[in-house]
Amino acid sequence: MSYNRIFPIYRFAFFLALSIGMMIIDHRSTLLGPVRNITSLINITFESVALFPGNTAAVFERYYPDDTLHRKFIELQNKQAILETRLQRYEALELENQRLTKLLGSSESSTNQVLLAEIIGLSPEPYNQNIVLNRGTEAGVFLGQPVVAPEGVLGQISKVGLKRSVVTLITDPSHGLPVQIQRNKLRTIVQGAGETDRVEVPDLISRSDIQRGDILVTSGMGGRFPIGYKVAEVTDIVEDASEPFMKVSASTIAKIGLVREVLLLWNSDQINDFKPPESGSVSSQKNE
Amino acid sequence: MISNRLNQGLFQVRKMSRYRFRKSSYGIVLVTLAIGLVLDLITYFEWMKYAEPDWVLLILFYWCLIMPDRIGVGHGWIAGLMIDILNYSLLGQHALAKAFVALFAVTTSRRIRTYDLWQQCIIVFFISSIDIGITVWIANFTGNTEIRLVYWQSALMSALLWPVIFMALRFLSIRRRVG
Repeated sequence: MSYNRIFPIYRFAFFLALSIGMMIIDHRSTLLGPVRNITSLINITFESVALFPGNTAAVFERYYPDDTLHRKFIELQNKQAILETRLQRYEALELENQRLTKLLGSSESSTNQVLLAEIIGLSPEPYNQNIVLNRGTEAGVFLGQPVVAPEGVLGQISKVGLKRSVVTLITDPSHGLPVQIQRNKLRTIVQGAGETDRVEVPDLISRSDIQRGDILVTSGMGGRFPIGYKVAEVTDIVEDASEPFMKVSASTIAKIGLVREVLLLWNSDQINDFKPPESGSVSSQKNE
Repeated sequence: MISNRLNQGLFQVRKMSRYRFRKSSYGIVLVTLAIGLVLDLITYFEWMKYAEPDWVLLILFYWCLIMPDRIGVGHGWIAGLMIDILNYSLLGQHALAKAFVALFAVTTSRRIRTYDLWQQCIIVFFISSIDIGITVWIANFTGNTEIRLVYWQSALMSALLWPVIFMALRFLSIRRRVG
């Protein structure tokens, strides 16, 4: 029975080397991109099996509706009417805004193409601040693409498959986002805290003008996120006179537990001269 | 002469039946591991987020104990790679951890099989902790997370669930005459 004693160790050494090589390639480069395209098909199969009970429940609900559905319909109809009236005002404002920006001669780009995507699942691993969407390269999704919910910013695309993509949330510790305070336009950076719906503002010097309840919006710096989307609300400020920086924590405006559908954004200049991203810009997506 | 031939024939028949026997036992391992992968995908409750048992680890551990000469490091590695694919995590992260689990199970299977169920629970807790340690350490190394103690709740849950998995798979393998 020496087979059981000795050979597994050699075999393990082989697989150890194989996994380490694979992890380095996957982490450091985009060579495994085509592989992810194929593996997203495996994902779809397993996810559809895992979601099967929920889906059957949805089918039953569709054919045997109860009162709640009707009530929800009326509620949505009312909401739609209100939103439509608001939208008219918004369109007028946008036209005016375009005219004014033209007058000022600024090159500030506004996003105008969006794509609706559905959240398929949160990352099954507790230590990742990720969500999975049901759109991939097939729908034109690219690495580093901003993702927002109707309430506020969610994060950016960090992995793309053929029909699936993974969003790194702004609550991920490796994610930084340039923002400004809505009240006084003070610019800073928001960093993930590694917890659900919580972010930190690590590099504000002491006695900066920030208050509890301040809304942080995207500043458009870095060129990845368009300007003016809500990010977080300041909840807690700890100021220590002996420390050079304040400890500011904020809660995200878009609560990940309540969001079901998200928007993927394209910048207008990205649409006009659309070309496949170079490898350099792709690999730098973690450093924003 | 005749008896010799008869013996040969009998031997042939036995060999063939053994071959078929192996194939079917292999199928049941694959099916149970696939079920484990699906169960791993499901989030049951929000409060159980950190305390979800590692189904694949338990099932893999069982089969490695029962047939260490057929299920081993390679199977563990592939099961782990499937987890990596399904979780969208770094390719090779769980594969490495599960290969180590399989290595441990295969090399110590003869001893562990003689233990009581509650003693096996302790072993499962121990090996599941190492599994989580490897994955969390790699995640930390690639800059995704900090190491926090709550992640090890899952190991406790796996250990508590081991008797159930063991009984269920034991029932299954006795019915299918595997192992």
